[in-house]
Amino acid sequence: MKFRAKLYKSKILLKLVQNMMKIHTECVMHITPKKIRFIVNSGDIEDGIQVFYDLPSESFFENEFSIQSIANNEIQFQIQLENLRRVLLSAINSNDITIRLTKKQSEPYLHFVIKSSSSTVVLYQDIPIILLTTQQLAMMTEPILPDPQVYIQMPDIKTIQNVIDKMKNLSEQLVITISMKSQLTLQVESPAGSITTHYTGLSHPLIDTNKGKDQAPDSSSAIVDIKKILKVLHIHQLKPEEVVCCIFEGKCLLFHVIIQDVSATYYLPIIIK
Amino acid sequence: MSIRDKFSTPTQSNQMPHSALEQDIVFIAKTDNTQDISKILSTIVKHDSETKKKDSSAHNLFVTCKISPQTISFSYDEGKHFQANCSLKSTFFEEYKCELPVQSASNNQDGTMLPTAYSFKVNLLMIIDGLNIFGSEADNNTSVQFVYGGYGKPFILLLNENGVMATCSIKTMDTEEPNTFDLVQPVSNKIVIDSESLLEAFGELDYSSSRVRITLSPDAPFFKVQTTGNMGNFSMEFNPEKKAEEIFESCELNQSISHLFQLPLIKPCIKALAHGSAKTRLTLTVNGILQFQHILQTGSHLHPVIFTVVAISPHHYDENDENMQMD
Repeated sequence: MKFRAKLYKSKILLKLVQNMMKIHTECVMHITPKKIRFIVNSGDIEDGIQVFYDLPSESFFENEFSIQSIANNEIQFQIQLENLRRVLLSAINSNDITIRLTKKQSEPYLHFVIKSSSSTVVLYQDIPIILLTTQQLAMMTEPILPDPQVYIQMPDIKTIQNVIDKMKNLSEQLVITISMKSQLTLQVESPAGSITTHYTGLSHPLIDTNKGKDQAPDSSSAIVDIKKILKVLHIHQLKPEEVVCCIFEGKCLLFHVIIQDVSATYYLPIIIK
Repeated sequence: MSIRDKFSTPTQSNQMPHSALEQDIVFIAKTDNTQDISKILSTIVKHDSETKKKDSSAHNLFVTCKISPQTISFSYDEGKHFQANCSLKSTFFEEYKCELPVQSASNNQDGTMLPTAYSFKVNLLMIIDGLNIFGSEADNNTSVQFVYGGYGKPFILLLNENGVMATCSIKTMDTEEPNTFDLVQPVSNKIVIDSESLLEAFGELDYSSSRVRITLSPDAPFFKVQTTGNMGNFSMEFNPEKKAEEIFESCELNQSISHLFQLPLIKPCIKALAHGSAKTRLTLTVNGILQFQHILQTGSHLHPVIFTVVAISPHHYDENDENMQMD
């Protein structure tokens, strides 16, 4: 098993890692010749948020990249995000970062060589990793879902986060309603009162569905845990170009986020009453 | 084919939402100055440092809201020793309508007084959260409409920021009349002082102390503020060479009055000065009632914010007070 690459866009990767840390402390990295995927799972499988970040290898490793393994030239391992964050932070002023898979005393490590921009100092950093088999990785794939009932392009995520942040004082559960007539409603309710925010004039992405237009419902709602959705909305810090929200009735809520050539997909559990 | 591959270019359609208020409405007030209201209401929120919690169950501050054809006011009492009150005049709003219950034939006989205002208990923190729902920056384009349907109905805020709408419906409950305080009998001292001077006078106090002594007297130095605490004794006096007319805008100082107050209760009275107060009328009575009447200014509007604090009972002296006796 071999892996060696020069890392570009390390600042963006650092921001992504900092965002991942809002969800959990560790992640799984799955590197293939075409893409780098980060899988972050919060808490337990039943009740947690699942996030998949996909980065094109071409953009982050460019041409100086070689990967070899018996499993179709794919490598997957578990890594602590804080370690990755620290290394990327120390590389913030460097243009020359090399990553290599190494073994020290038969333990696997991700080995970083960071040359400062003035070429005077060289930093060496080793992050311990836990290699995973393809079988183990197969247990962490994205949930298989039918077509979503409803989907919409979200308005500015930062303001949505502020609104929901005030709503959390009233209830632990948020009701999201998406209408295929360009409307989005957020609502919290408690014996003390209720707050409802209503957005109109939004856009819907075109989705290839198997449903005919007549079968599509006008609107659908999902109840989510407010703390969890607030964690997801931190992605606004990366100033995404597009955020799409889908409701899979009775199953989950999905956010699909596009930040330049990176995509992040969040799966949130729905509370069923 | 994953969900990602299904997304392509967006489509667009426009439709205004349907919203209707079905209940009978007895009060409507509308303004674009949402942030000003939030600022005024926030001045009476007292922050209890000991009980600051992060869970939603503690996010309460129940106040009495009174709505009359002239004003809408919010006040709360803490026991019998502290009261905070703020009000907004009907002229502050772009639209203000209040319909009081009309006298019916059967009421004439028993001679009961008709209410001159609607009164109910409501969670002020929820109102402030509602006002700030789209952010608390001063340059927000948020308009707010207050709506109330009468006894038992919720107090509703309808907010609009560039087409995005929020509705905040807050439960109302029965309330009691706020405490009243006698600010005249038997003798009281009054001063009207500009807020900057007042802020300066109280600004450098040792806020870790638990008590503050406030003295108003017809003799120089007229106004004295003293604390005794972990950092030692602190005393503020105005320049003894200055005449009363030079320090105060106006004053009525009949005799020397000095009282001890709990400093945590005085703190919010002073914090309110930082929110755009122009001047304050301070009243201190022989019986130990202290009142701050601030005039807060937003744009061209003036808003009274009133704090009333009762002195620590004169029977509760301890050895520390010997350091703070008046000469």
